[in-house]
Amino acid sequence: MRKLEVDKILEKNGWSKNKIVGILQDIQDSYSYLPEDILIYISEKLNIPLSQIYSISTFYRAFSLKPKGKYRIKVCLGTACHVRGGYMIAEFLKNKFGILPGETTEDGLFSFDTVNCLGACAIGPIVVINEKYYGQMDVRKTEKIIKGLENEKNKQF
Amino acid sequence: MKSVEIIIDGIKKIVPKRITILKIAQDVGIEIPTLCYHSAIEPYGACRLCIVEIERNGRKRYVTACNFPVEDEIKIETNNENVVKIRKLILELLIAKVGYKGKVKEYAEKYEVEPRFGIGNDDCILCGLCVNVCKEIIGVSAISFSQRGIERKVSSPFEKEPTNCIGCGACSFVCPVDAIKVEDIKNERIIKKINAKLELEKCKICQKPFIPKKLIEYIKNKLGANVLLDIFLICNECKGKNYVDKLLPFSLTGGKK
Ligand code: SF4
Ligand code: FES
Ligand code: FES
Repeated sequence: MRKLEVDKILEKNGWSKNKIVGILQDIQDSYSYLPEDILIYISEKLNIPLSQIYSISTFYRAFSLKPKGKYRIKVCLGTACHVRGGYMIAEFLKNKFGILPGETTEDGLFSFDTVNCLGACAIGPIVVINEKYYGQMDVRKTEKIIKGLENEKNKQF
Repeated sequence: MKSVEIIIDGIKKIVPKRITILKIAQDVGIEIPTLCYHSAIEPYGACRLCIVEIERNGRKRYVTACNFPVEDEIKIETNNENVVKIRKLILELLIAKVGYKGKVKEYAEKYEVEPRFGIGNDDCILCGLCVNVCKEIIGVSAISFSQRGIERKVSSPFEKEPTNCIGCGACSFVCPVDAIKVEDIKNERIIKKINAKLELEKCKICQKPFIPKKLIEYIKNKLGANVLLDIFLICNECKGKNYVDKLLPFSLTGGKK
């Protein structure tokens, strides 16, 4: 059951109120989002008002209250990546998926976010898909990778 | 406690260390405008309207009076030209956000502020008083700020009915721009801004629903009582009438209840 998994995360963080951000990070990693019922459970277990957990959950970009896609695409729009055409990649993805940054496609396959500088400006524009970094990207290359991911999915089913 | 000598608007004064500039001003009778400050709540420093100029070793700085603790000998100007200029700018920005509402309107008139950046129509200036009164004084924390940047707002968790709200209305009471409306409709108290909906208990005398059941439970808990004195269970109107009956030999209400 879920509770056991969450308890493990709480245990790892010493059941400590002060570690709430770390706890939420772990939840985000395990579930790809912060499920409401889990936030309520944590609030009760650690005796933190739900309003405060909600406040933190909506403050940081790293957290999401809605499930993220199987492939989580991040496009860097930091200054260096932006001037080299990162924004064109972002535009392309918006149109291709018909979603805005922060949203997920209906089939749950892709979600897309923009970020501000990943600290790898020299090889920008950067696109990150799940944990993998792609440098010197443009629209064409992005399109190709996404095609590949879509095909992979078709193969599976 | 250690003390220091300061000068505030030309008045010399010896004050205890760590007292805030706002408290000194209040003692001396100097008025500093505030929006996010309430004497019962920890200063939050959100609105910046209480800005004043301080001078230390010939260097000038602008600080918020409500949460600036005095540590050493400083000269404070609470209302000079520069201070007024900054205050006006802050008011212009507030008007751009919420327009002429509540205390913003009062101060805008007092400082003769024109709407330089337009007149907004948001309901809230994000002063934090409601959030902090609920947390510090009531001890419930039913609401908080959510989101950030231009999307920052006051809300209940998940914008749903806050399960721990007791419907006390403290948030509405402290709001400087009247953003939080409390409405009693039939046997329900509705606080729309924070999605709260609470069942009301009837007045023991006139039977009009007037106090949230959850608030009664909260008071019982605070007092450690099983039952409450009637004074909590009788509405204000009936309390008034009852006192009149008791205090005057010839009752103005004719003794009717
Ligand atoms: S609703 Fe009122 S009290 Fe609460 S933050 Fe907004 S302006 Fe302040
Ligand atoms: S701007 Fe994209 S990595 Fe720095
Ligand atoms: S009253 Fe001091 S910052 Fe708002």
